[in-house]
Amino acid sequence: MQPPDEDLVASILGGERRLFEQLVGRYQGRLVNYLYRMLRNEEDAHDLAQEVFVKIYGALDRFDPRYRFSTWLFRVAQNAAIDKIRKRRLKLVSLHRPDTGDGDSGQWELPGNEPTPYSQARNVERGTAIRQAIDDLPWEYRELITLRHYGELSYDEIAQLKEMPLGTVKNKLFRGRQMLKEKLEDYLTD
Amino acid sequence: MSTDNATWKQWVDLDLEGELEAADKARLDDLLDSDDEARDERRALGSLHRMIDEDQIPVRAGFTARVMEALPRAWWERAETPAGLPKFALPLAMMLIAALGAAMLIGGSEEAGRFTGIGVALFDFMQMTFLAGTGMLFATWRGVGFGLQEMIGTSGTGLAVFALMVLCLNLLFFSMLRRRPRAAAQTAESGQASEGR
Repeated sequence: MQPPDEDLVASILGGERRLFEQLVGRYQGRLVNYLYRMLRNEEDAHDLAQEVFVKIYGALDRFDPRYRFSTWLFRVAQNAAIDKIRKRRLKLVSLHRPDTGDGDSGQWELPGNEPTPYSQARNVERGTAIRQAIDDLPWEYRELITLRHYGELSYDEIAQLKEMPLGTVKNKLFRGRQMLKEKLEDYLTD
Repeated sequence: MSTDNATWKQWVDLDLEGELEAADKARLDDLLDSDDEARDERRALGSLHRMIDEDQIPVRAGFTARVMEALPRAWWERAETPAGLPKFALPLAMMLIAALGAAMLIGGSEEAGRFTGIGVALFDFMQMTFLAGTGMLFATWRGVGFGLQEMIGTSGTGLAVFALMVLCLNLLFFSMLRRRPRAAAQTAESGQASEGR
């Protein structure tokens, strides 16, 4: 049986630095996927996940064991992602260009993401659809859906992280999924 | 969507998440047995859950190793043991002090043997060294005190020079304090800010 996160943190603070590897192993998949959903870029998600782990390690002595480690980790990650998005917005250019009147769509031609072997092996259309549907959700729903499905946080953990009543979390996740269901109706038949 | 519809649809959603309470689950099971719409809802939501769960990216190979390599020596690690001293240095020093104390106690009694005599002699030596050191320190400070009194008391210029020197020393002290934990403080501040948001 694996030791709980809080025990690992205590051991690390006691001098067993290598045990931090276990914490990274436990959360790397969830954190990278959560950040990927937030940032929409695989490279950025990995880089920011690494930054978050380093930041967490530096502040480990300030971890309050009354709260869950996962909640703390994702709170730091969420704030880091929001900061990153804010910085990115400063660099963004509009995807729409003025209509030239020549029947053009008025959209810039942008290169798509290079397909990785992983994504090639998957149903690209479904993947694109689900990503687009989540991206189109209002922020409050998108945030919770991402925390639940990509961060794999429990309802309790989300309530603690967002400082919301548990009932509100349940309602928002339900509404968010209903919106997704409507958008993805064509893909939900199988 | 009517209120009733919304309620049982939320039950379906919570059931798929394992968050539905037992009493509601029993009612939902009855509904699923009898209602096609409820079964369709469950099928569609189940499909949605699977679709989202399948949309995951793999973590790059070697990610954990890179994180471990990037870890700095944290502020709280530095506070543990002074650099260059092995971990057993502090317990060893305490044991030595305790042994000397015991030797002193035993040495005062009639059973004091040859070995305890050595301990007592060592203790006496350390005590003398301590007293001598204290005396020298005291004398030094008195000397510094006399010097300062001479310098400050005789002229206004001397007082001004002294005040400037104190100010410079303070500035130097604060700049050293700020420089040393900057990196650690930044980490802690960002963590604290994160918690506060």
